[in-house]
Formats: sequence, structure tokens, C-alpha cells
Amino acid sequence: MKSSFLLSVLGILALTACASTPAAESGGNRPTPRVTSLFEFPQIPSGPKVYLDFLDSSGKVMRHEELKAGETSKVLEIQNLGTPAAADLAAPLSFKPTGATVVQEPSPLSAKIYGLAPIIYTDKNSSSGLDDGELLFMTHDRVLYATAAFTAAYSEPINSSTMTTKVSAQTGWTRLEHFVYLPLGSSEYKRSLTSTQDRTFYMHKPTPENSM
Amino acid sequence: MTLSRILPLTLCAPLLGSCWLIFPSPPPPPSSLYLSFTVPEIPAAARGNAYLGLFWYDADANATAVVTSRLADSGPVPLTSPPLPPSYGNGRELFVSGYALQVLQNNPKFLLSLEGGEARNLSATNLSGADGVRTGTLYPFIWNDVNANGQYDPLSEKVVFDTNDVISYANKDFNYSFEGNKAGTVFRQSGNRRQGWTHVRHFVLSGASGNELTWNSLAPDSPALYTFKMKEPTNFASSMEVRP
Repeated sequence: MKSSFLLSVLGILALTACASTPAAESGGNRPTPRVTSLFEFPQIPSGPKVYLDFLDSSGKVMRHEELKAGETSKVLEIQNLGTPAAADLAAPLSFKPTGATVVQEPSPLSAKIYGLAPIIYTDKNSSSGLDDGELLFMTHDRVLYATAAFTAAYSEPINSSTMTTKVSAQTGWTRLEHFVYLPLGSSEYKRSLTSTQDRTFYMHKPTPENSM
Repeated sequence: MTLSRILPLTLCAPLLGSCWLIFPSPPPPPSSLYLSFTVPEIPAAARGNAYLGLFWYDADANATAVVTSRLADSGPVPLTSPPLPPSYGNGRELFVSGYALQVLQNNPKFLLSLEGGEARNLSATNLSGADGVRTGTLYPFIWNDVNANGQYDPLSEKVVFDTNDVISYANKDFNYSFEGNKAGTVFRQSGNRRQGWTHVRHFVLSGASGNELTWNSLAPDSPALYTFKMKEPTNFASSMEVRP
């Protein structure tokens, strides 16, 4: 009696061991996607101190982080930046350049934004601020806060052609992705600024706006 | 008597835990790919006939489809088996089975040296970092299937949207660079690749110092992994250059 009980316990143990073999994941062995914001950049040179700053449109520094020589990335969560001051909020197309024509009025018009430009500079003159000739890396992506999701579009002359920018932003702090291309056989640059789930910012050497 | 019967079983218990002794488990299946695409509005001329496909080219530039799917004019695209995971629902998706990928990576016509594959026809000079490298590339694009045969006929059918991102298989990890010339556009290309199948992200910087291209394998935990933003065809070497 006792032995048959033990036998059945052992049998259950054996079956449990087999059942615990991990099932193959569908879609392969893909790790869980990263959920933090990440700034990637070419290797930081040694020498004068290097900083990653978030600049707003008035030139105010919202965030100031020192980067160490040799670093190639920094985790800096943009969704923890807090709610911007009411005085800092502006109209959705307040950032469009002078000379640009509105193609589609912001919808809804009541949306307000606060945009930050991430930049990396080498502080050659130890002023702890960006000065001429110090800009190392930048991105045309923006760290954007929007009070409401909105869309808008504007068009501007670029050299001898045109660039049309379509904006599609989500509520809260997001990465506003800059994406631009010139279709084959066309002279009109197509650009989009879109809030993305992916909050990876690729910082690169300075380029004009009709480049990545 | 009871003890003598139980003792051998007790000694066997650790062995029972290693159930492969009794039921050998099959090797894990090779990883499959789920790709999703953001597609601009399909032009009226292609509506109803637009197909999304994943292609590779042999050394003679013949295109072979790995998987294709007819695009509904909007909304999700019904696909064949296996069903897509529930998280994929409102985009355009393609599925490539791990077994199909395994067949491809063993095909010598698919897997080529950098000189004979990716960098051919680009007048590549100063190529470095590519010794012993073999890669194979899958290109996603959308074409207007004018003759409605479900196949891409390059002579009579146009690519409507594409991406300069690719899916690549590499036989090893490597970093490479070379200088190239694409139909008169001079550029410098560099990149890094991880062994195995990866999503390789295209990035072009243009400006005062010329056109610089990078094609890098995305990190395995990148939220952008296997998502592609489709656009109209461009010159991959200079589409973002500053024009005088």
C-alpha cells in the first residue's frame, strides 16, 4: 500500500519534470523590447568636458548631463521630465521656420507643445554652456511634450526646391522622430515628424534639416 | 521487503527529472521573423493590385520572392498560417518561418561575399573588415501588380514603396567600410553586423562633408526591431543630400 503510494508520487514527479520543458516562443528568441529612452552617439572623445543638454526654443537648458570619454550611449528617461511650466507651452506650429507656409492648420488648434533639442557639445572654454564651434553631435528628432495629440503640416523653400513637413504628435512626452527623403525624380523633400513608441535618439554630427 | 522495492526507485528519482532519458525533446525550431510595415496611402493607380513582398537577388540580379502578401487598401491584411500574434493587428505584416530562413542561409547563391553581394556594382574601393564575411540580404518592397499574377515582374511593374532598411544574414560579427559610387553619387559606407539574422537599419548623413551611409544591425532589444517605415523609392546614397 505504502509502496504503491510512493510509486504514484514518483510517477507524478517524473511527469511534472517533463511538462516543465520550456515551450519554444513563437517568433523566435527575441528579448523583451527596451522600454527606456536611450541616447546613442559616436564615442565621446577625451579632453575638455562633454555635455548632453536639452535646449528649449528660447535657449534655456532643461537638462544638463556630463558624458564620460569613451561612452557611446546614455539612458535618460524623457517621460520623467515632469509637466512643463504653463509659460513654456506654445502653439503646435510655433517652431516652424519663418517663411514656411501652413499647409494644414493644427488639429485640434487648442493643443500646446514644449519642444527640446538634444545636443552634445565639448565645452572647450569651460563655460558650461554651448558656444560657437563646440557642437559635437545633434539630432533633428525632438523631445516633445504635447498637451493633446495633434496633426499639422507646413511647407518651406529649401535651396531651389521645397520641403513639406507633416507633424503627428501624441500626448505627453514622446520622441518626435524626424524622417526625410527626396523621392527619385522629384524636387520636393518629404519630411515627417512623428511621435514614436521607440525612444531611441541617434545623435550624429551636425547636418542640415533636409538630411537625417 | 517494502524498503527493498522502494530503494531502487528512490535512487532513480533524480534520473526521472532528466526526462530526456525517457522522452528526448526535439531541438528547438529555428527563429522565425515577424515583420511589420508602416505604409503610406496607396496611390489610386495601385489600389487593389498592391503587393508587399520580401525579395533577395542572386549574383545576376534576378529577384526571388521569399514571401508576398496582397495589401488591402487599408487596415489589417489577412494572412495565411500561422496566425500572427495578437499584438500585430493594425499594420501590414509578413511572416517568414525559421525553416525557410534556414534553407536560405544554406543557399550558396544567397550567401555571398561583400564584394560579390552587397557592394557589387558600387565601384567599391578601400573595402576593409570584410575578410571571410558572407552575407545575404532580404529587401522588402511594395509593387503595383499590374497584370494581377501575384508576382513581381520587374520589366513591366513598378515599385511603389520601399525602405532602405534590410533583413540580413551574416555568417559572423563584423565591422566594415568602403568608398563607393552609385551612378555618379560618391559616398562612404560603414556599418556593423551581428552573426545571424538581423534588422539592418539604414542611415544617411548628407552635408558639407559628402554622403555618409551607415547600415547597422539593430540591437536585439530595440523597440524598432522588425518594424519598417515604407517610403517612395529614393537614391539610397544621397536621398537626403543638400542640393545646390
